[in-house]
Amino acid sequence: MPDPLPLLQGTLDMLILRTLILGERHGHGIATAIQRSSEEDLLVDHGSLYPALQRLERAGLIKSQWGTSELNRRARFYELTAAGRKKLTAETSKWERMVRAIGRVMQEES
Amino acid sequence: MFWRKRARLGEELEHHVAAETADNVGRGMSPEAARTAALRTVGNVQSAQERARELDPLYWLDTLWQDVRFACRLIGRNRWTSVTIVATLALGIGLNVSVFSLLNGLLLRPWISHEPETVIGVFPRFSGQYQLRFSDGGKISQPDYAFYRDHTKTMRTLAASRFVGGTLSGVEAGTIPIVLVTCNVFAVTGGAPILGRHLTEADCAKEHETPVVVLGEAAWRTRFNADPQIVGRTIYLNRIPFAVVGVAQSFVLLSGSPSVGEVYVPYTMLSTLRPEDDFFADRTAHWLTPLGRRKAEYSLEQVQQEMNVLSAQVDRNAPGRTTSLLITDGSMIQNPGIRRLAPLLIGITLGTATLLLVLGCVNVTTLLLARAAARQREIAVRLSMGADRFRLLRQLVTEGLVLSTAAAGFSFLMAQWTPRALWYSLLKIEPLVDLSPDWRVLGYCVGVALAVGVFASLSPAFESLRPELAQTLKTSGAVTGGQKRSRLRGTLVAVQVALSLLVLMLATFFTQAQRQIVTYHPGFETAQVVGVTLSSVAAGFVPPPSFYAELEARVRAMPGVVGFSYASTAPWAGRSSAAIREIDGRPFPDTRDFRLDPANRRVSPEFFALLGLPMTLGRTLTAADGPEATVISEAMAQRYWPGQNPLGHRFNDGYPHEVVGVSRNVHSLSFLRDDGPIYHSPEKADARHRHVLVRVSGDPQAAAAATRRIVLELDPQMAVTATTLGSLVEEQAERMQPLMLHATLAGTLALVLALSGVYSVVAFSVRQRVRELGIRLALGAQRGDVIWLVVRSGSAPVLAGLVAGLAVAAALFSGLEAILFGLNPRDPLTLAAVALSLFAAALVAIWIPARRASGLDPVSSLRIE
Repeated sequence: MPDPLPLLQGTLDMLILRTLILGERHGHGIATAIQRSSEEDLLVDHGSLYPALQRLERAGLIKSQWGTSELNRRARFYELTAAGRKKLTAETSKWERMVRAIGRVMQEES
Repeated sequence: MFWRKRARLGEELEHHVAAETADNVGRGMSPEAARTAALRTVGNVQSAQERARELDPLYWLDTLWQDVRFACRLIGRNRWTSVTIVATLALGIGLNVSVFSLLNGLLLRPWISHEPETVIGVFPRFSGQYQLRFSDGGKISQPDYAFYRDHTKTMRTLAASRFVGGTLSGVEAGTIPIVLVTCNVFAVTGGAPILGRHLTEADCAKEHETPVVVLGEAAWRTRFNADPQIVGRTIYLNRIPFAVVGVAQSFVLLSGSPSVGEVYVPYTMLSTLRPEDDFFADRTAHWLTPLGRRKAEYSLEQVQQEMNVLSAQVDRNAPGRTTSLLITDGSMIQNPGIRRLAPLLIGITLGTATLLLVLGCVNVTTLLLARAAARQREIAVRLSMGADRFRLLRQLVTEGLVLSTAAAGFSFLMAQWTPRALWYSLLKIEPLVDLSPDWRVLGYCVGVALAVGVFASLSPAFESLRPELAQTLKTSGAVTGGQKRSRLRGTLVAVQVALSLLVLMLATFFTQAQRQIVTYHPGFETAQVVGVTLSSVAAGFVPPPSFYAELEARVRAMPGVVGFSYASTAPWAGRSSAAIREIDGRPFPDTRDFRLDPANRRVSPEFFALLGLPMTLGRTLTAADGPEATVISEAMAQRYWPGQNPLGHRFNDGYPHEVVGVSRNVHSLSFLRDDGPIYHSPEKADARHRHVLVRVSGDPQAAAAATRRIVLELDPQMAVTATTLGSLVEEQAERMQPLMLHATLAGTLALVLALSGVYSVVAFSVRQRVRELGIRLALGAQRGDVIWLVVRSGSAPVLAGLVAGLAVAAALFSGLEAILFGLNPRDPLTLAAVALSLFAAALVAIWIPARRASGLDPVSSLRIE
């Protein structure tokens, strides 16, 4: 199996928001969910995850609270806010536009 | 709070590692390998925390504390430099804050120290066409005052005062400032009486009836020798007996001049003291200056509004008049008269202090630059390892701020006692107002310290962070002067030179002024002349007809008397003028400004010979002359009959005059200033002479005392002063002395600062250029060449600074003519002399390190790495 790809610049925020749409998760859970959903094709740098989470929280797109994880330990759980939902919709449509546009260029007959 | 966040993130990351470890174990790893792998995926927890932390806005607060600790360590390492910096800044900031505190006490705070927050200043202004019997500007009539006082709800007390000059006779004779006051004035000034009592309402009940007086503390001490038995004694004011009922603590009323030694008399005694002022209850006579206190529950605006309403009501009784009362907080700067002068006063005092402070800052900047250059390597390494540029900048600036805060602490201590010392050294009397620092001064101190700290460390900080890393690391610290770097240093030197030039010029002018006064010759004889003033006559007293005849006979009989003359105004004691209406029969337009009218003086014929006034045309007055004979000055001849011989011409100022002589221009009206147009005519036959001039061949001091005795023999109640003209000149010189001293001190300080700045900059640049100079020497350059090189590069900024300073001086000093007694501040000779001497001194400061540079051993200097 080929090596997993690092994330494209600036897409981590969008992926985090998408992952949270199915319910609240803690930091590790978000990272694993992204990797699993991509079928191990994407590699998340766990170190840059937490700065991204802080950034999103400060922008009011996600909110957090303490809870107990499946390991029976204290962990911080994140969930989407209404603003976060709106942002996700916007980012998603932008992404799809981008993908389509690039695809058209790549498929051009030379 | 910050530690909590850090702990929280740590806990969150710990959980992440634990979850990843569990996953790894699930994938089949051993527990230890699982944890190691988990830790590896999370990466360096530290740096993750670090990066996450950086996003936190409160991060910088935490790092600020780190910066301060680091700065203190650095300061401790360079002890000598730091001490010099703190000392320089402490002096500069301290002086600046002290001057501000002085100005604060004088201008921004009311002069009444008892409960200053409720003090109110009232400044009346009038407009419209209305009946006016008497007014000397900005005052109200007694009926209006009574109306305001009785109808105000916002003011606790409304008092009023009027300052009149009067005479004191008896043992301590002479003039004395008398202040007519409403009897509630002591409720405004506050404090308890030192002896006896204050005035009460009963004292002001009816006109003429209560001749009582309260002495001011200063008068009690100086005129009455602090006599503890003074209460109950009678003193004679304007030859009228007044009973002393008490001594009041010293205070300064907003109205009168802050003369020391006032006495306070009920205002109902107005026409008793001055019979010609019989307008006490006259609505059309404006003679009272109001002053008051507001009730604490009302604000200044509310008082203003009420006064607007009341003044409109009062105007109904004065048809055509519109009164507007300006209500202020009682501080001097709100006084409309002072407001105009305030910028000049502030500019000169605070401006000079700030100039010195900036000079000191520039010196400190140079020192910090040198220190930054020494740390260049360390900074370059940190930058290359990825340190945040902004963070480093902040750290460098924090060092400057720590130093300036330490200096500010000392400065605030200085400001506790320096303002009083400054005042005392300038005026030689105890301060009249409270000069201790308050919150305003503290705020100013903090502000200045911040500004200084940032200013002094900013340019070295920027310099340190320039991206010349490779070069720095290669040459291991000895940064060869790049273009930009030496330009900054050059600018610093130029600024210092320009500033010190300005301060030196000020000092030179004051020294010149003082010297001018000491060797002053006003154009007439002063050393052997005694001036006698009969103050009672000036105040309105009419001596019996035989008085003057007797006086003249007895004075002339004194041994050594060679001249005796009357004069309506004494030399340097006032100017009287009259508008010219006709010249040679033709009407002359009214100038509408008494300053443009020629001055006049009525004298005895002997006046000219007594003072040795030289004549240029015609003759002096003689005893045979009629009342029309007049001697005019050269300036007057020049103005009214230019190019002609004025003898025989006539003019009219309400009385007819015929020109019989022209006298030389002298300085008989004020010091160091030409009289301009002035004319002398004979005294009227039955005149009440106020001034007598006596010329003696022997000791003038003894003659003055003897003359005074003669006057008192003739009339023991006469208030008389007799001084020698020579002592008046000395007094003026003495008054200038402290000013000159201060200016010279400031000039010396500025010179030392500037020269040390020039020296340190040149020495520093020589050290930087050690390799280059060594190479030159090794390649065969002579010592002289190296010296010339250093001197040339060092003196370029000095020249630039001199030019800039001269330009600024020419622009700024034009406004100073008034205070410098007619000296021309733009006198090219003085400017050139000061500039050249400064340049010469700077050259010496440059030459010393230059010479040292030329003595370098080329081999060892090349080896310096």
